[in-house]
Amino acid sequence: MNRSPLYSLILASFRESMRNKVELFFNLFFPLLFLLIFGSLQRGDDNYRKTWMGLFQSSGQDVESVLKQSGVWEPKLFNSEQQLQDAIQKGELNLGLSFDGSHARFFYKDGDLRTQSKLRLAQVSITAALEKQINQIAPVISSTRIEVTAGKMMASGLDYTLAGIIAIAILSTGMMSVVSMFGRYRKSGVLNQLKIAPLKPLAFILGTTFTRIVLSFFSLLLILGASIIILKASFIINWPLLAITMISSTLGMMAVGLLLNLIFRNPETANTSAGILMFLMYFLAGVFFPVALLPNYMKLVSSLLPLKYVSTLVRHCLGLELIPGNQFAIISISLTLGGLLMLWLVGRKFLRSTRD
Amino acid sequence: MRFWHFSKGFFLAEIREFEVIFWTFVFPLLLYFFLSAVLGSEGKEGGASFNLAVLGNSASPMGTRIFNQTIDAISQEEGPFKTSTFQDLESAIIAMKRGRQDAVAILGGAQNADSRSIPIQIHFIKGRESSQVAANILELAFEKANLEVAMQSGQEFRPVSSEAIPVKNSISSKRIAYKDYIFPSVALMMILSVALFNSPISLSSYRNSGTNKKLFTTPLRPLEYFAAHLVKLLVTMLGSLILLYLMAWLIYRVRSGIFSLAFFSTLLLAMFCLVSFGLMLASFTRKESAAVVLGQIFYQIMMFMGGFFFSVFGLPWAIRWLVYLLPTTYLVELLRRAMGVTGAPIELFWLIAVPVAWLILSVAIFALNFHKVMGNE
Repeated sequence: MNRSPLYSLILASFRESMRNKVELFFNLFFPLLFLLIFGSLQRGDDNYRKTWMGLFQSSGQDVESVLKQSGVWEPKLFNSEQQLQDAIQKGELNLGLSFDGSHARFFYKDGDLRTQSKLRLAQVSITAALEKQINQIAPVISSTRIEVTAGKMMASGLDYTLAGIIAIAILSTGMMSVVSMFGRYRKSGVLNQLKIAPLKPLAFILGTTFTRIVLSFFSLLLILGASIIILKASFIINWPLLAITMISSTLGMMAVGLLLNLIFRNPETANTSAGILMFLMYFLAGVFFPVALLPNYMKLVSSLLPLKYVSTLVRHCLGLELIPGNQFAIISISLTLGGLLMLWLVGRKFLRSTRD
Repeated sequence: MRFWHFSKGFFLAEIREFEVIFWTFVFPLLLYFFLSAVLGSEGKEGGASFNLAVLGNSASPMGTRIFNQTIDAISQEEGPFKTSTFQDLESAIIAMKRGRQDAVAILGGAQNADSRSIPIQIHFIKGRESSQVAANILELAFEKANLEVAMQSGQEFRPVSSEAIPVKNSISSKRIAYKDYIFPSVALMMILSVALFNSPISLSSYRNSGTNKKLFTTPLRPLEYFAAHLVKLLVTMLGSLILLYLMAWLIYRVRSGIFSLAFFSTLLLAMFCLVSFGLMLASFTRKESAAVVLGQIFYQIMMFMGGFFFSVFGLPWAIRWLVYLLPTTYLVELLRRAMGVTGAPIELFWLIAVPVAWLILSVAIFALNFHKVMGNE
């Protein structure tokens, strides 16, 4: 039976991927590991932000009600200031308040930078609320907080973090897989063997990358499953749009990966460059720390990276933040067309440079 | 002499690899720069700016005046808000949902029957961090405005003073800048990367490529080979540490005990403990690919769950047990203690005992598999 060259290439590439345990690990399980680590860290943090505030009051007006009325803190009472400090020291709480009627002492864990970043706001807002109550001030203006959803459901901070990790996973699988694969092909001389095959550039690229797209899809299913089952994410998933996002983003990032391979002829250098790009994206995805608190120049760098646009698509598909249909179409078509065009161009150049 | 020639050759072969140069020597410097640049403000909202949609519908001149004055005060040149005026709530909310605005402030709206105050609504996107922070700051600004009005009205006012107090694990613990605080984490990351990647990968690569077999046909003994491997790792780590120290000392002016004997001793303990851990991993794997995978898994877990960058002692116990099991948790804390900072609720004895226990266990397992790892079975 005569097989088309494209089919043969896809089959060979699939077999090769299944045999390569490192590639399988990095495509399927590495994003999962990342998700579990950061999902767990964020879960602990979420509890603090929503509820716990240790409280010891020696005199003065009722502080407990002030904290409860804020809607942000859930007071946990202690019998002495020492007990409160002990609880913070043991890591049971991140923040505590001791009030004697005129002086508020805010306790936090030394060296805990995450709490420190919220401490100033907590200190000023709670002190203001205490002054208001002690002085029986009838407010001239009364503010009410109204929660709004930008998507299909009320999302939590954890949902947003998980969506960021999923976007990173899609990007890294697309880019890293082609960088390592073509680096390996070039080093082992496989590309020299392929150059004598009657392959068109796009068929060559599609044949070698199809398996990686399939692997990306499995990786996506794994991390979505872990997000929902283990970390209790409340996504409402639009599967067809998610599939479109995955394919368009993977194609776009594969093109970036190929471009790196073309620019840096040494496979190790290409791999390192891809690592640097991923490193930048990890830091600017809001997974390690909130993007809102980054300096403006960092936000500008963030907006130039593909991650921003893929994150927008992913949040839309998971029901966190809906964007207009035409915006979704423009971003995903741009990624797909841009990706395919670059793949074709880079593939042509790649084969030509190898044939030279 | 033969040993030193061999060690030198080994080291040169190692640093000829571009990846080794980058990840061992350049990456720690980049990471140190990046973390100091981004988090150097220690969580202050210095660089942050938020977009605020404003709508004013009140018929009350006083309410309008207070509202406008408050908005003006928080949208000065230094921020933190940049305001845009909207004519209707719907378009403001849509702008916020699309990410063009972080929060929406509306003067007016439904008023409580039992209150004569002027209502203000603050709309924000739940879960979106920038929106939540913007709403918190805005709410605080209006609270402050109320207090200001009360004080100016001549009403007797009892102020509440406040202070923030760090809870230390020891009386001697001191506060240091973030660039100082992060230094032990970056140094340990570098040691971890050499111990878990360079060492196991090079061992398995030499073994699988048959280089070891060729070497063992010469008078070189396996123990000499292994000692040269250790010297190579040690020199690589010391070279990278020197660069990191130069950056910390000359650029970031870190002065918090990084040159103390306790700090150097802990770095040495970390090198031996983590290199032994890497050798133990190498003894479990035959293939280079398996060494890469195992190295990556342990690298990520030891770095993030070891509390290099975030406090990990508030995690639920379902995960926290892992924190207490890892040697890196103790090593990073021990380094910080050497700088005078106490961050973890762990006795000094355990900070030394646990890494030493890992060192003994790893060396024992590696010794049992020594000939297998060296490819000299």
